[in-house]
Amino acid sequence: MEEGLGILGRMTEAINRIFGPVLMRIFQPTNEFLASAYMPWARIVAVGFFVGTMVWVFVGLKRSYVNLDAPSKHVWHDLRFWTIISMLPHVIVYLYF
Amino acid sequence: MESTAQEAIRGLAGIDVAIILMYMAGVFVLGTFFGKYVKSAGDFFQASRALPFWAIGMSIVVSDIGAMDFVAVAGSAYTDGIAVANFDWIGSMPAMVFAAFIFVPYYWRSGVYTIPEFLGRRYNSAVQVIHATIWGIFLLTMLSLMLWVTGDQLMNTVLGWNPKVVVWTMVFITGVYTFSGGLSSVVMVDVVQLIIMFVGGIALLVLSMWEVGGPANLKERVADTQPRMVVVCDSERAVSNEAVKDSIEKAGFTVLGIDRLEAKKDGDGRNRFFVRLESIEIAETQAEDMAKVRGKTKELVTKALSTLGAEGNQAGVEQLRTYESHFTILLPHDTDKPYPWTGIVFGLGIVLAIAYMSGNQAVVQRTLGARSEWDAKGGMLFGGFLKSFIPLMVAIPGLCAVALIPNLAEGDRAVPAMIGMLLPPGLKGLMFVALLAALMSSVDSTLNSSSTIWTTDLYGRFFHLVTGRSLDGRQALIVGRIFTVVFILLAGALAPWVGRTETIYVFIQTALSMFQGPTLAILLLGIVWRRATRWGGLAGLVLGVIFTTILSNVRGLFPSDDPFLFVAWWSFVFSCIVTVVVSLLTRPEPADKIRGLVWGQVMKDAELQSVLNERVS
Repeated sequence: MEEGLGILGRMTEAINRIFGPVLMRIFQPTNEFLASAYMPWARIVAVGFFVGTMVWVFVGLKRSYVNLDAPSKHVWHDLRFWTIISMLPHVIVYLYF
Repeated sequence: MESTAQEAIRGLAGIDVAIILMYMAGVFVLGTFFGKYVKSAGDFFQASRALPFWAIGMSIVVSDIGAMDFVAVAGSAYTDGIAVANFDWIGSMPAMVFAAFIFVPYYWRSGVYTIPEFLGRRYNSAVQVIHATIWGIFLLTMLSLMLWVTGDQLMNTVLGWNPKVVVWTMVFITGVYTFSGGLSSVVMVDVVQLIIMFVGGIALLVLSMWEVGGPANLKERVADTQPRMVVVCDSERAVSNEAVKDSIEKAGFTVLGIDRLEAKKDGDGRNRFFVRLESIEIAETQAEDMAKVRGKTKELVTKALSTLGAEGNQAGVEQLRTYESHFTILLPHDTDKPYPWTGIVFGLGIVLAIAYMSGNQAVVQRTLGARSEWDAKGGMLFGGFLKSFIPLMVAIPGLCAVALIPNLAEGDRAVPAMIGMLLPPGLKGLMFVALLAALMSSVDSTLNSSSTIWTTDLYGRFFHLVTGRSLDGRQALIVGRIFTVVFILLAGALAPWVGRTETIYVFIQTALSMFQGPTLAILLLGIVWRRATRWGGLAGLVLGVIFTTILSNVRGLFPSDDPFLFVAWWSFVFSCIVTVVVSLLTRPEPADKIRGLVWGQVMKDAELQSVLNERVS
């Protein structure tokens, strides 16, 4: 068992030695850029993720595709409205917190 | 305070015990009732394709939330704040919308039993077997772990019950009804379990908020809470409370109180202390830059403590709790807490959540049993809507615990302590039934899904290889039931071993997390891009897992100590690139093979589209 752990340890060291310097060059500047990002951007991106998803379902997808096999044409069986109703509270939560 | 809460829970009244026993008997009867409808593999694995959207949605939620999630999420909210709710908000709803409108329709239309089977049809059998093997082993290990963690850490620690008796009782009840009724039993029992879970959770939320005095009071009281930390001075000899207090005060902090904690089970940290500080204001750092203040505090305290133990022994801050960001849901990229916003939005929201909701057999199997495509999609959306309430029932009581019982050294004690403090007899029994419901629903779903994968993708492939024929419906039903019995007995027998051998759990979890980004990449490209080829999918999967291994092992690449969110995102991006490049370099798949499995064909095929329009109007 100890020998196994030793092999894993040596593998980790080898991975660090071979790939570490190259990957650091890519991820170090990315981290610095993101750490300095203006924090309201986080909120905008998160809320945008929800709003974008709602817009995609409502505008981007065909009604016939979304509601295929729906029990009726009533608005309460329209899954586009289900999406909006399910996601709007999240937008409020991310704006509040 | 902690022991008082524990005493209160251990003293379950007769009515509480009666409620727990009635619940177990009721679940057993309800679950076995559906056995009489099972005649073929389709009935067993897909509930005869008769499930309505509400049952699918409720079952998805309750299968996803285990008893330990209840405890761990509240514990995380107690120590790190509301940011943990991201896992049920941005880490669920958008993913469930994408699953509903991109993945589920294709699984449902292709009539498959499992996701590996879908991947096998879209790419090749190598992809199917690799995916099925990883998930088959993971689900089996999770079964054992769920049983043991709940039996040992919840029922034994909190109620004082014998963990082996708890494990084998759960094995018997869930095993019998899952064997008997398959997916129908699992889903219908889940519906009842979700209702019980919500009643218990809402009771805990209302009583917690009542005790704290409402949301405004809660925010104020949490913000006023003084910093706490858990420090370790790992020395062969006992270190006194006074010595630790003096060292920390010499570093410039005022200690309000200090308690010795029990050593960890693995023997590390023989001298652990819970310390209450007046503040962590430090002259040379700006008060608003809390990451720097927290970092400097840890550095100063570690330096002060290092003089206490023998030379070479470890000393330091195991945990530093401050409460200024407990109501901030998106934390900075360089936070020292576990959930930076970049990891949450990209790693969790875009990769891990979608991979989980679209690629986890235990979640998707319910939609495959839907009575129509609309019910499959609607079930996903309804599940997402219900899941939005989970943080309110779990994370908010964890935050209330900060105001009511701020001196718990372990965050995971918050929910048991709150139950002991706040719930009256009867309601206390109901809350424990809710926790049992959370456990049993996760166990039955995992059991049913693992037997489906082993039957269809592993035994089925092996049978085909040896005999040249596929399993017929009756053979698949018999094999599925045999796997169900073997797996639940195996899970019960291995539970103590898996529960105590942390490395196995860590290894399986790590293996699965390495798999998530690459799997999502090939699933997504397989559905949205007709040019994706079998070689592209295989290369994306294998090279993606190798890239994930490299990212996980190179130190200091990402700001978090446990960078799984970042690793998931970058491995997804890498696998997408590999799949696209290799696909473009290899021969396109024949049109017949991918017909009905690719998004563009369904959205653009005029003939298919006019049929869809007719059916809707």
